[in-house]
This record gives sequence, structure tokens and C-alpha cells, in this order.
Amino acid sequence: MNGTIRETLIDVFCRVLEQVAFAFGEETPKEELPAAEFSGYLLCGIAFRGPFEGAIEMALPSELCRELAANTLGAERESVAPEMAADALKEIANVTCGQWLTNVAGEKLVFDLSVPTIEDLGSAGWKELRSRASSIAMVVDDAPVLIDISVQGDIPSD
Amino acid sequence: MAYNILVVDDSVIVRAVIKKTLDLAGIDIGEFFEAGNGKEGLSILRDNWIDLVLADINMPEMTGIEMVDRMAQNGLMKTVSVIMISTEGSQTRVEELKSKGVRAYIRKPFTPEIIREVIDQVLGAGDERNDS
Repeated sequence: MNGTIRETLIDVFCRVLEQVAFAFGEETPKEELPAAEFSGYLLCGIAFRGPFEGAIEMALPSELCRELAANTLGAERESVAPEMAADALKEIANVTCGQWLTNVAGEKLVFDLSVPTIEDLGSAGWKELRSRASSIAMVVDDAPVLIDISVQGDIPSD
Repeated sequence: MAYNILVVDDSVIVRAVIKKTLDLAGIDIGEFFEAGNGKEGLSILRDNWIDLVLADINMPEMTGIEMVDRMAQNGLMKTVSVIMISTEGSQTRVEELKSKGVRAYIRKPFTPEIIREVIDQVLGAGDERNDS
């Protein structure tokens, strides 16, 4: 993965977490993330299309998503409905994608973003995402997180 | 003066945050309406008096841009002020929206201060609130 693409994604993701949900994330060695033994993770995907195209994926524990939803709403975690957890993750993916595009492609180019998709991530799915060379291991409020980005086409240098 | 406000966004959490932000910003809300996409937004606009629409761009069923295009074809709806709130940062897209009659654009994430400033500009309510 191109260094700029990767570093910008980490930077933008952490900034969005902080601004939207008052949470803090940092990159961590992939070996420190669980290999497969877990349950209750959500996978969110958002695609973009324009002068170049691609997609961003994020896998987070659903309990972390619930905490992010509570932080976003300024509410107690127990008062947040489970469906709000998925909604919070979709919003973080949406804002991250928009900010990442502006950071790498500037403010002149126009991109169409898809509506974010969400699904329960099984152990096999986590293992597959973790095994990708391009995926990035993160820790967000002490919880393991994986993010990945794929880009097709050349990113304009200007 | 209280404003009837319609928020169009497919995210329940975003609609809740916008409602909270409007309250924090001190916007005088008469009735608050919510829609999950442009189609639902148009339906609410047909049946209710709305002073201001805050709409996202990317939504299932009907996008915010399609909704604005439909509003422009309706004599009454085209007079309603629309502010787009979205994640997109393309100035080209912002200019396109303005050419369609969108009054202002707010980029996510936003703060209560930004919301208040933009709504004051669009509705011209700042002086009134300062006087009260």
C-alpha cells in the first residue's frame, strides 16, 4: 500500500474518531490483535468513485461501536440502542472516507460515495481481513480494530 | 420566531446529533421533522410548512441532490431554504449544489457554532436572537 494512502488513512481515522466520538486510536503491531477467537464484531464498508475509485473497510467490536454511539450522542452507553452502534460506525466510515479523499485528492475533484454497508463479522472474516498485507491494526480505546483501503487508478499528484 | 425544521439523513444517530446541536446553538425550533431519505423528505415537505431543510447528500432511495432537484420543480418547495450537511469536501460539488439553489453547505464533522453561524446567515435570525 502506498505510504501516503496508508498514513493519511490512519491520521484521518484517528482525527474523525476524536472529533465525532471523543475516542482515541493509534496504530499497533498486527501481532497484538487477536487472531480469530472473538465474537461480536461489525464490518463496515464504503466505496468511492470518481477520477479514481476504491473502498474503505473497518472492523470494530460492536461494544466499542456502542460506546462510540454513546459518546457521539453524549448519552450513557446503556441507554444506546444496539442498532445505534452500527449507525455510529457507518457515520465514522462515511466521514473518514470524505476526509481521506479531500486529503489525498484535494478539493477540486468530485467523488460519489456509496451508502455505507454493515454486516456482522465472523471469525473467518476477521482472520481474512487481518491476513491482508494492506490492512492496518489499530487500538481504539483499548479495543482491537482493523481498517483497510483499496484504490484502483492513479491518484493525481496535484 | 420559531422555525419548522426538517432534517433529512439516513443515519438516526446523525439526525439526533443535529437536533441536539440545534438546541445547543439556541435555534428556536417550532416543529422538528425527520426523514431517512430524499423521498421521505419530499413527502414531509408536501404535507407541512417547513422553513429550513438540513439534508445529507448520500442516502439510499433518493439522494439529497435528487431531492433538491425535485424541490426546484415545485413552486412552493423551491422557496424553502436548504442547507446541505455532508462529508464531502469537493468545492466543485459545493458550487454545483449552490447552482441548484442550495443556500449553504456544512461539512461533517460540525460544531454547534458552525451550525448557528450558517443558519443565522441563511435565515437572517442572528439579529433577532441578539435583540431578545
